[in-house]
Amino acid sequence: MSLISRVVVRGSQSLVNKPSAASAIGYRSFHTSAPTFNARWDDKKSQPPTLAKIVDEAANTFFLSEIMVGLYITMGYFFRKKCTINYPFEKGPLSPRFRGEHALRRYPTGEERCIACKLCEAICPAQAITIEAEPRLDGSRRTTRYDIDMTKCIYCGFCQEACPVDAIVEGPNFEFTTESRIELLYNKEKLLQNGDRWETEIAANIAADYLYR
Amino acid sequence: MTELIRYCRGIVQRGLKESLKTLYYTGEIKYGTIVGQDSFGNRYYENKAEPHGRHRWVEYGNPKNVDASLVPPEWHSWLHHISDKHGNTQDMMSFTPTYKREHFQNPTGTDAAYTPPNYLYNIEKQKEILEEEKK
Repeated sequence: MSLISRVVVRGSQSLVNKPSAASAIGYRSFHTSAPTFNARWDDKKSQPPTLAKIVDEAANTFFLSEIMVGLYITMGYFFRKKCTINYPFEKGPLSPRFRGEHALRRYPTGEERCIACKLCEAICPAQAITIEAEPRLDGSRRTTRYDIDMTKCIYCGFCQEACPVDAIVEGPNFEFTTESRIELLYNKEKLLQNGDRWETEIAANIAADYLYR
Repeated sequence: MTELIRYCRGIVQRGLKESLKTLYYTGEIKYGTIVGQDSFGNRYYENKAEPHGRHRWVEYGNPKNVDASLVPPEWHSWLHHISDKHGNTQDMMSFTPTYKREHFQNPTGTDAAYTPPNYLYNIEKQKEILEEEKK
């Protein structure tokens, strides 16, 4: 307590002892030292110009020396190896866990995996998934409707985390841009088609990650 | 300087006419070993001397139709540096299921583009087809 009060007293004393420019103007400064109005970062007073300095600065301006230094660096990079990825021909690195376009998978027999448990629908934070289900003719429970609104989806991957049968997955494809919004309202047919097209890589990625699943 | 040597080696590998064509369509002449070719005629190259991240690339079968979605899933993971298994290896082929469907380019903007069946345009089209069948 005494320490704090001593500091406060010392601070106030320094303000009183050194009448600053601020107090002369008439408002109370929160600085304990007198404020300086120099714009220099090192708090040194600007030196008076000498002849050598004036000649140096004039020469720098006249011969564009700073621009030349910049162009020299540019020239150096011109002959160096380019590290920019030339996109449609070279592609950036991805993870086996990359979360891209959704796909509904099948068992190796061709039977669809989804059992309409609706866990993905329940966990989806964007509520992008809509499922309707009823028993099939052979008595197994399947979806009659499985819609994902890809415009709502935030690609969080919760649906594939929630799925007990690895049916809904986020595949490695991210090149599914469309010209119209309507093309992004996926239904079950489209999702199964994605699965059929991308199964090779989806299965390979799951196999690559087997230690962590 | 390394860039100039690289260009020269690229020209030596593919000949003057082919390298001019490649330079025009891809903006780059690179040299490397051909790793394989897929059903679309895309050729996949590798050269470990290139800067990391640029050492695998594809030259599309039809240079006038260049689209990243033309890369089939067997090659996709190799090209994206996900794995070293490329599309011609048995490792990758063993994951291919019996019900596999043909890969195709992103069909947006064409007649083959996906639209949901309850989209109004599709419903109207269905009606027209039904009317024509009645006639």
